[in-house]
Amino acid sequence: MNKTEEKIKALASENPASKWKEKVAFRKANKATLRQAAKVALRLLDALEEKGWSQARLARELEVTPQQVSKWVKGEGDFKFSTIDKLEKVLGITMHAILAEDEFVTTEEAFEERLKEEIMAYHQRRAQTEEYYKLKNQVSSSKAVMAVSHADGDLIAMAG
Amino acid sequence: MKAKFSPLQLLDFKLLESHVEFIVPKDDEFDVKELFHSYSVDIDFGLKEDIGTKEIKLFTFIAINAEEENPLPGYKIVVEGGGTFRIQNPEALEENLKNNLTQFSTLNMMINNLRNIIYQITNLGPMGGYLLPPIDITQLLRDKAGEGDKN
Repeated sequence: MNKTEEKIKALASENPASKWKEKVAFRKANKATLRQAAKVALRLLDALEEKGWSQARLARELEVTPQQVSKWVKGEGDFKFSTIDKLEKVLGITMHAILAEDEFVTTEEAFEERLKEEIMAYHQRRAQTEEYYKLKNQVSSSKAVMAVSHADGDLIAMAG
Repeated sequence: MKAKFSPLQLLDFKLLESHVEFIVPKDDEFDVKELFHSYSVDIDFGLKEDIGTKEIKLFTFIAINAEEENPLPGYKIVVEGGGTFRIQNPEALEENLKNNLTQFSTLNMMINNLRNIIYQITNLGPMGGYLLPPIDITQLLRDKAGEGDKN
């Protein structure tokens, strides 16, 4: 039996040394949890980059071991509510919006921001409409609003 | 054929007023096409160019069969719209082309937008959609220029 055959046999055995079967079974059983952990890991990495912090700095701020932070950013974290709360406070991020899957979640800040944008858009539309009404008032008065200079030879766009 | 965009940009269009009234015909038999064709059409507009923003604002008013006395049966329509336009890189354009875009094209687009609105509204009415006939824009501009000369 050559080396390759030995490897295949080891992988296919009932108790393979690499434990890949257990790993696959674990991933299958904890698919949703792992997906959430991956989302949190990506958000943590983004927040660390934004702040210019190392994983070690985050560990110091949260008073946990660097190994623990390393686990989180690898997507292997299993978070307690208190840990999420601490992460939110230290990094200034909102985790519950990330954790909600297939659900529309908004934070108070995001809601206010959106409301502000909508109000601003309304005011812009209103200002624009008022400009049109000003023109309308000028049209109905005896003074012409525009002075049209039109060359006789220019007959482009006759009908519209 | 790939369409090339015009340097004239339509930034905004708002419908400011729309009023449609249906006057019930006294006669039972009439030709709708002929009736629509005999409607009078009044158009007025006002154009203003903002030197700072280089934006062109155009107010357009269209009244169809809207005479105070003895309007024809069918639709009596008044619509008003406002539009904002801008010419991209006006310095790169010849004066004639720039004038053409500023005066003809803007008014043309406004009338087209309002034509579409009139059709959409009247399409729900008893006589079906009224399609505003093509308008001689040159004449409209001439009339407006004449109005300016008088004042």
